[in-house]
Amino acid sequence: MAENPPVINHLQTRPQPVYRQDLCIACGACVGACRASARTLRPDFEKARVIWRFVPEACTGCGRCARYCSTGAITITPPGHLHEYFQIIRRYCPTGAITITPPADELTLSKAVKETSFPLQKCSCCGNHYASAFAIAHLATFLPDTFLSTCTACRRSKTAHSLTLQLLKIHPPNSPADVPVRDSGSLFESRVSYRTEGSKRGRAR
Amino acid sequence: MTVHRVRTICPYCGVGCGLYLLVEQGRIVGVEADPEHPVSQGGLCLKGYYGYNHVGDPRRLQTPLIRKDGMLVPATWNEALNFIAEHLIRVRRQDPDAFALIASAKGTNEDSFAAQKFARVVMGTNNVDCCARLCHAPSVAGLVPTLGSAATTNTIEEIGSVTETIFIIGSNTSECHPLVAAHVIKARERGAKLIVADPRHTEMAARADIWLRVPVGGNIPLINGIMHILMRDGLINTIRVNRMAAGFDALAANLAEWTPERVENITGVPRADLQAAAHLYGKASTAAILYAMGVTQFANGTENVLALANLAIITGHLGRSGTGLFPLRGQNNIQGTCDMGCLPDFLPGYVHVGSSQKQTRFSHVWSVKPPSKPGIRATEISEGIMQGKIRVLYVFGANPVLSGPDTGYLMKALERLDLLIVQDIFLTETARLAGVVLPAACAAEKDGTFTNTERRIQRVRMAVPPPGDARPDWRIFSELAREMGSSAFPYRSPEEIWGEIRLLIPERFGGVAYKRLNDGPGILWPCPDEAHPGTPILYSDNVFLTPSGKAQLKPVPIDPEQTSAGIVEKPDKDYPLVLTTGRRVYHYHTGTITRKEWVLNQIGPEELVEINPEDGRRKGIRNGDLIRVCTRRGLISARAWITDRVPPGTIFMTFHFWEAPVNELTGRAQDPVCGIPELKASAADIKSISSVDARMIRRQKKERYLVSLEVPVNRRNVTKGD
Amino acid sequence: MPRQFIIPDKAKCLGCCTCLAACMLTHREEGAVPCPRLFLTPTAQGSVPLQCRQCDQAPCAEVCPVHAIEVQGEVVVLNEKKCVGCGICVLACPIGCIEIQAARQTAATGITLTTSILLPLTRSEQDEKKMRKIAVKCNMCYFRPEGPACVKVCPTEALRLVDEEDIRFWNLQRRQAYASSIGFQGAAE
Repeated sequence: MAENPPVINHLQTRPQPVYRQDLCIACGACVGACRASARTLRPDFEKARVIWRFVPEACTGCGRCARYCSTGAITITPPGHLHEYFQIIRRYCPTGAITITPPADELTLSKAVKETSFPLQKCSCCGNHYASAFAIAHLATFLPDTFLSTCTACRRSKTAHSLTLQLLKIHPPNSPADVPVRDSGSLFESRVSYRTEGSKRGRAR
Repeated sequence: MTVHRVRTICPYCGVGCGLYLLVEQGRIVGVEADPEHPVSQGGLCLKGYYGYNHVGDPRRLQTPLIRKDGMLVPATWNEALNFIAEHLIRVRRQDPDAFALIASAKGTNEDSFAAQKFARVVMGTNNVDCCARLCHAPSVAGLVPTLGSAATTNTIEEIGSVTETIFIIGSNTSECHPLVAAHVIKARERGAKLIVADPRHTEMAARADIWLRVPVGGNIPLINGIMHILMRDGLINTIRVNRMAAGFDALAANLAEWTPERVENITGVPRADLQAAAHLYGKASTAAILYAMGVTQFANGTENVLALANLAIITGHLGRSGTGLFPLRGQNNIQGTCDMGCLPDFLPGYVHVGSSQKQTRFSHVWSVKPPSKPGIRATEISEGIMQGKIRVLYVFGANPVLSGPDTGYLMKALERLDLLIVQDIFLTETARLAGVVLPAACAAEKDGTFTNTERRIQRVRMAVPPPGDARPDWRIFSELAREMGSSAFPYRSPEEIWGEIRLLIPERFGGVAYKRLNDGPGILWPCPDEAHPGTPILYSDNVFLTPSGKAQLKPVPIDPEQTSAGIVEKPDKDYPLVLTTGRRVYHYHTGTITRKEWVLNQIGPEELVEINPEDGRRKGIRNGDLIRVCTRRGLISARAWITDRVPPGTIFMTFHFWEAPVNELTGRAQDPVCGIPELKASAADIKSISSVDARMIRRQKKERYLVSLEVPVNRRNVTKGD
Repeated sequence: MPRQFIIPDKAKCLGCCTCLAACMLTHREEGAVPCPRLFLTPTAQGSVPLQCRQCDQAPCAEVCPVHAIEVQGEVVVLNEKKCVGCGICVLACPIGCIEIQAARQTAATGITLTTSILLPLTRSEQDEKKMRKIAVKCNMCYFRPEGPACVKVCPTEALRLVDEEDIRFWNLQRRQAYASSIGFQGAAE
């Protein structure tokens, strides 16, 4: 026994994220939230897609990804009865001779999706790929799609373009308004107040 | 802790904005704009606001350095001055003309005066030049014979308040002179019209009423075309022109062939635009021409300037408020450095070295007759070294290894020198090659005067003491002269030097006393006596400073066969693009100072080559790709910026970065009249390269410019102990 | 309730980047990520710096998964400690005035940017791993009693702080203009 000690697979002793590809929009929140760099999101502009990768070996099971996932694509197994159980056994076994193997259904978690790719959205203005198309579609459920279809640089260009000289013609409050301005709507065009009915976000808690 | 405010002048560009340095415990902690300053009026650009950290930078030179066994090691002032004096005495005995001095345009007037006096009186040579050779030498060569003076004719403030039509040609005003551009913007708000002639879509071109996209080197056809239209449409008052200027008939004969159709063929500027611009300029009651390096840095720079002078003279747009010619100076004190005679052919006050009767006052005051043979120009120095004529070069506050044309050749030449002396505030790329390096005080550490581009003499004040053993430049020259046995430098303060300047050139500076400068906003020369208020407008009543009092019109003919823009190195099959150079707003010249400012270096961390999308497509280069730019003289690597700012067939680079030293690529083709190199046009080729190759080129440049030598002073001492 | 925001005057801007430098330094002194919160945007009529308009019911705050963007008083503030740099706020911003910047913490200089501000071209793949990604947006220098730094340093006064009173006045003007136009048409008939 001593020359072949059983090793506890840490993957199974930690809480595990469960990932549902059909809900994922590749927004990148989990990537930013993960402190162990277990997830990456890399754009592949040539093939117009974005690749989401998960490295189970690096995952510490902290659960931040699930907490910050906007769509509920990531959930986490209950922070483990199994985990505590193993910890206790390990602490009390003087020789490290542990023969317990995790149950079969827990093992399946490590076989979760590790890599998947999503299409990229093409900017309707400059033609560059700028974000995951699913993320844009998700935002479009509660934000107007007037600007969502363009990349940020084009949005800025559009904003800058709409800043006309009209501001010049508007007089500061203390000077007489001798030339009334008919149309100065553009000043507030891009300063928006959005509250649409679909603005409830599915957030996994 | 008490913070005290020191009123002084911004040490960057030629606009000369006023600012307050906030000093706390001998350290500059901030900058405030001077709301009463006549030019800046409470505004500053980012260099003025945030470019002060170089003053206390640990990489500042603090002790003299002497090369021993190939290493630059710290030395005392006595050692360094002794060493230099010994060398220079030997050179003086053998051949004084083997010594050449490149003066700084960033020092004060007093520093510049001391520098040229050192060369002329102590060394006995006229081999003194400054970086005006690389910027506004054509303005001197073109405007002195036609108008009598190369200076800006009016104050900058008048552009904002009076001028009706502003014609900017060859100047990226908003990036290189932001506070002048602020006055242009002010004028635009007032309703003034703006014409911009520039190959690049600069910020000013974007805001212009008429933008003439003249190709690089197409200035002469453009200006001649404008004058042709003015003549054709009867917008020239011939009687008035003949009264104030000579040579109109010859000019008129030359202009006859410059039909708008021909100009359109050569430059591609639509004739309707040309006509609109001509009418806008010609019909305006007050019109100003602003020009800079895009006019002068050509092998025909003098002719470009002559053409502009002709345009101003025949339209009568001179000598009135808000009406004139504005050669925008690049360096903070380039005007003053030229006034002080840091030129190989002019003594202080633009007295020609050959004119014997005017020289007498110099020989009287200096008790030595200044040499009468014109000296060597800065651009001829590398050739002079190669031919063995120059053996000792004294570089005072300049960095020709990055700023000069074809620097590969210059660096080869510098190796052949007997001794290279560099006096600077940092261990610049040039100083790293020197035999002796002398530490100087920067603008915030000395008293003196700057003359800005509008001839305004302004007081610069000491805010903090120089670091370590660094000394003001005028003191270094005085002590070196004393070491060499000369008694011509008895100065104890800059004010005494200024006193001598006033004595020597009373017609310009006689009335400019320090006590007047201390209180007021500066005085515009000429100011002959203390009751004189200064001269904001030159040539009022159309009296010119030429010997006859009349302006001289000089026609600018070009080859009638010519069908394209006039540049020396035309693009061809191997080098299909025109490389033009310039500056960006967040860096200054060779980056000696601004690359050390955290915020400025963050905004512009590396060189970006502006490439037109069409050229990018043809060469397979995408935005952000690493590319190799090569000309017949060398190759450098930089990053591509695909943009419409440049026209097809033209690429644009700056000379701020040692990583991409564009002046390795520029050619030595010169203007025959004044010797300015053609920095604005070289035939070049670009190619996309891998990041490995780019890193390799970068490593080569790092070795070539000995970048690792520039270390903070505390670490330098450690390496000395090893 | 309208909030304060800054709006640039395209006719006055020189494109001189002074506002960007002021923004970087002010935030650096405050200990925030020293990235400019203004975005110099080129247009055919010249460049102009754009920044957050502090929207009512800001979409960026609404989509932030970590609640890093919050409305504090009159300003939409991004809490840098909470931000995970996911970039969903960038996509939600209607005017494109939030960007993800990558910053690197070094002992010598504190936080250093590794991207060029005018042109985020200098970012390279191997650098990215060591860097922390963070969203940056204008926070009106809420910590600064003198008000936004960019407005103060602009040499041409192209940036203008618009407050409630301005908006009320402009609305009044527009109503007046509308009223007078009705009167004019009536007279013409």
